Amino acid sequence: MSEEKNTNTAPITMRALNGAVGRTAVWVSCWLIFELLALTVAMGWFDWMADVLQNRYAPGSLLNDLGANFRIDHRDSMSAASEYAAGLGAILAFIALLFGAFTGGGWLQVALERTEGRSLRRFFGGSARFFWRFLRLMFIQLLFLAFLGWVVYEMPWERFILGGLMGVPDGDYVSLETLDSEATVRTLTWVQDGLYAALFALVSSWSLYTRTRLALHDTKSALWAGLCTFATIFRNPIRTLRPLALLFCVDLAVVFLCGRALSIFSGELDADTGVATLVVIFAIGRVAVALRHLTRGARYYAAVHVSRELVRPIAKPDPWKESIGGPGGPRYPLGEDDEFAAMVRG
Amino acid sequence: MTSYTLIETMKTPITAASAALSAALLWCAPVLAQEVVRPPEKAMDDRSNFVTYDIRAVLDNEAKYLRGSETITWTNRSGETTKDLWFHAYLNAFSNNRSTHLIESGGKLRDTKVSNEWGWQWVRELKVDGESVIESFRYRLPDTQPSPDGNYVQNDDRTVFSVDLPKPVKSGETITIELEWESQLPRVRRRTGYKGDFYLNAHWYPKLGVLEGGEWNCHEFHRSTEFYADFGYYRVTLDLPREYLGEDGVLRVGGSGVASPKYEEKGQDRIEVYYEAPSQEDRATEDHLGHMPMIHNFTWTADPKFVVKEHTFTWKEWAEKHPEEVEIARAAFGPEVELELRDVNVKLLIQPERVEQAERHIRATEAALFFYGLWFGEYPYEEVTVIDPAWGGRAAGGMEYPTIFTCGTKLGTTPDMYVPESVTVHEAGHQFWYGLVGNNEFEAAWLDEGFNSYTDSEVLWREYGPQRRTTEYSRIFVDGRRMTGLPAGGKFGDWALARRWEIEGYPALKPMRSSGFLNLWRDQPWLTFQRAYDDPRWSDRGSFLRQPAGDPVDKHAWVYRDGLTYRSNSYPRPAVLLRTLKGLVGNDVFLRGMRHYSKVWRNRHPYTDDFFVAFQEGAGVDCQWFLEDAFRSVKQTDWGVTVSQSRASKPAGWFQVGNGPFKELAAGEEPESNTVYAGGQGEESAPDEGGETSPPWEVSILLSQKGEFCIPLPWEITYEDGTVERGVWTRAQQLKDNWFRMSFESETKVASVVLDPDSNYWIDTDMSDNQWYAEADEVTALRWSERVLSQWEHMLLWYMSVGG
Repeated sequence: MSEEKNTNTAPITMRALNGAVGRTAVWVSCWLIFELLALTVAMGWFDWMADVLQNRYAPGSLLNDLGANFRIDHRDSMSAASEYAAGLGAILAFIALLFGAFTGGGWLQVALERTEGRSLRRFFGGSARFFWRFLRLMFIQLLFLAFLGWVVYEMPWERFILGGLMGVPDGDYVSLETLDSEATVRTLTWVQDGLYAALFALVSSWSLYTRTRLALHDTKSALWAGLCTFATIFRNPIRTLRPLALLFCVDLAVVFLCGRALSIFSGELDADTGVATLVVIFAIGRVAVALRHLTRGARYYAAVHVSRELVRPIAKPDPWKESIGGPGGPRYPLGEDDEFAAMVRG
Repeated sequence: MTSYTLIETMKTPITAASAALSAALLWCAPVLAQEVVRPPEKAMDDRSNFVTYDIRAVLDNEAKYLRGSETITWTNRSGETTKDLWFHAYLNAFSNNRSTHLIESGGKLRDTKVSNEWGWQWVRELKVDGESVIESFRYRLPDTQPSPDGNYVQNDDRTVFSVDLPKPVKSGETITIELEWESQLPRVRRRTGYKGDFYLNAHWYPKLGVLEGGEWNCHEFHRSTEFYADFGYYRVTLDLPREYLGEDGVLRVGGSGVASPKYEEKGQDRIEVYYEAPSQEDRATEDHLGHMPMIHNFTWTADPKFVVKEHTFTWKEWAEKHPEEVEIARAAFGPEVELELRDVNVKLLIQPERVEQAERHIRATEAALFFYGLWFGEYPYEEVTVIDPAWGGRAAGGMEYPTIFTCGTKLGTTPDMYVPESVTVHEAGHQFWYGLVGNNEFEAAWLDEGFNSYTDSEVLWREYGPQRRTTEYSRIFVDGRRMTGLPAGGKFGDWALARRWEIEGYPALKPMRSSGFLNLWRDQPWLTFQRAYDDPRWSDRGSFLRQPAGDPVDKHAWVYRDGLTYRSNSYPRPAVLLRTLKGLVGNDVFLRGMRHYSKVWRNRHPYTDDFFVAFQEGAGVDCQWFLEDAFRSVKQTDWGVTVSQSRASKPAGWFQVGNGPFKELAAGEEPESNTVYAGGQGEESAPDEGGETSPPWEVSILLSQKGEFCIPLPWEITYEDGTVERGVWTRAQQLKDNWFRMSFESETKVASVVLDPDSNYWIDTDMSDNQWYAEADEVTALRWSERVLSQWEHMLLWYMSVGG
């Protein structure tokens, strides 16, 4: 009991991470599914590479860097292998997009429930339950992004920022050669890309809270839930966005720590490298992906914690209000002609 | 006349003040002209004329307008008499979209459709020995073929003009030519012009063509080629607004040669800057190859924002940095050849935002001065000026002019990215190949671009090592590259992944648009990229193989099949061929040949045959067959090797001993005369530990060659016991058969067979089959497939996070 109390008073970010870690079956399943999806691309690449390598290169000589000559001599077939990967990858990316909408419901289902065990079953149950609502929400989200992208990258930016503020003539919006310096152009690029990245993050956060609201209230209208969520975030920007920002920092830390470790081990690769180093590199890569799946789950947990504090339950008629029965046992509705009711009422 | 009328109406932008000033200057030129200068060297061919230019020009910064006059003294050393004079008027390439240059480039200059801010040049007056010949002025089209009906299709090129001489000029005679001209400078979109207050004036004055054996070699300004002019001396006086003199008293102006004496103030708002190229001191000093320095063009730049940095290049500093290179050169040239190079002042005019890259520009320039000088003879001038063009003036970047050149860079780069190192070394290298050895770039661009591509890669490798590949996100460079492409799928992919939703008649929606920082997070380069490095010398091969056989190398620059073929044949292919030539004849011989060519043709105009002759003369080898095949044909080569080896089978069947009857061999029995068990050298094979003799290895090595370019090919067999065997598949053998088989028996298994084991030949179109290893590579495919796996895991994670 005391442990539960301590957990509840911990920062939301920690509670979220704790909750997601506890659903091992869920995030490991998500991770393994993605391993399998990506493996289909990697296997194609492996086949191509094993075919061109054969006995043609000194064993281990290309471990650290494929080298200019390999890239030159196999330019065409490498390009074909890359195109194949890109084509197959597009299909997988589409599946991933849908899978995101699907698994969002699953994470919310397990995060909203307090029961233990059978996580995976409830995860997939929740995924199926909310899928169509979340798909509609995804469509709204993409339209929203299209609008923001248009603002930041097209006519409004060109006319008001480039033309109005910076004095760039029409026709030079791409190369920006009329500006004074490269530093100015770089700053503009950073502002533009940074602004869009921030807006993208905001839209992602908004859609996360909207999904959570939909799940909490179990309502159907993605648009109405989105509008309500917008108001909630607007009123409570710190409380809603801080946990997600902190989880982003966790994600960032995972990326940089694993990236740094990969860099160290990859730098040591040469013809004398043992298989152990390759195994370590492989393991680090997988750990990074698994941890990123975990932080994704933690975002849902964080959204649930925050939403429970900020989103008021909606009033719904309780179908079991006029009922009777013990906890965990069957419940019976009370009606006018019910003998028990007549007895109770006297 | 039509053009005169046109130009009269366009010349109005010049302000009254500058017009008055320039009027005072015009026709003063003969008075101010330098003393008569005798040609410092005798002509050793029919095209080494001698020329001096005295140019005075006034810049109107508001109108971007130049008014100038020039006095040319020209000595005919062509061996023939001429009745006319031909000139370049390069600026007219930018006068309209009917110039040869704009037609060839599809109306675009470095990807910009030209629709305004044109430039042109009008020659108002031209006198020869005091007599006006402007009436005989006419434009020429030496390279443009007339249409069948006799009209020039669309072409209104005015980049070449001629005038008749009052009287023929015999070989050995000198004449004085005076010109008066006006120029509207173009917005710099290629080579020359302005951007704001920045100027790069490269082709800004009427320049004589080259008289060769009585015929004028004076081509139109083509898209891909432009240089050919007589060597000589220049004196240039520029009248500029005072803003080009910094408050610190330092000129924000650069030009060929040196500013000498630097400048004079003319009232409150003008300055006059003087240039001499080469400097008087240089003209009087013989270089260490025995030539008196001259130049063949004059270019100047100005920008009030320039930051000026200077550093002295010294032989001592660089020889101490690369002592092994000095030793190699010493061994190649012998002790009698002077290697020590003169001090050179490297003057850098750099944009203030890039000042932190100043040292890198200087280092790259000095690396070129050192290595090129070490191999091909010293840079003979006291100064070299390096220009970092203003933002928006990048079209002026990456160009070479005598004693001055332009670079090109970006913010946020590091030296191992080769930006700006690569372009700086290349353009500095042109001081040698183009500047000092002044081949006709119109007709044999490969003699400067190709030679320079070869040399710059050698320098970059020695000074900087491998080139790091990077990927750019929002103008930030990240180490490495993606293993495979991004999700594709065409229009369906665009729809499905929400990159572009488009319904005909409606604006396209781009929900998942490309954006630098987002792309960075999507790609996760720290977790998914492959680190990749390039050797610039092998990169030449990569570029060459993009178009390996479109045309022979030796061709006029504007008549290659297409732009890609021109580039391949002018830049990387000659570099690859020269590197192969070095592999063929050896480094020392190669260096001697190249240095001899450089020495013989310094301050002169070589063609392809001149190189062939001079190289073989200096190298002391006959390799005409290689030079012809390499530079005058489209011959290619692709060597390959296949190997099979297996244990010899145990003897079985009927064997004859001597002339006796055949006898069937019983199981386990040895034939009496057993040659099968003998090793490659006829030795008996040793019994193994069990007391039984292992059968030898039957080895079959097949060398093959596709293509017609045959070069003696070394091969190397390495056995498992470490024994190495080397040999050569000769050119004669290759010419006879395009395959060569070596079949033998060996006690020891073959571990590897490698063709060209010292990597001397760079022209093989596919090197992937040039080596064979008994042990297959088991782990490399796994290693790189893991990168692909990572890339797609994170890519899919990104798309999933968008979904929910």
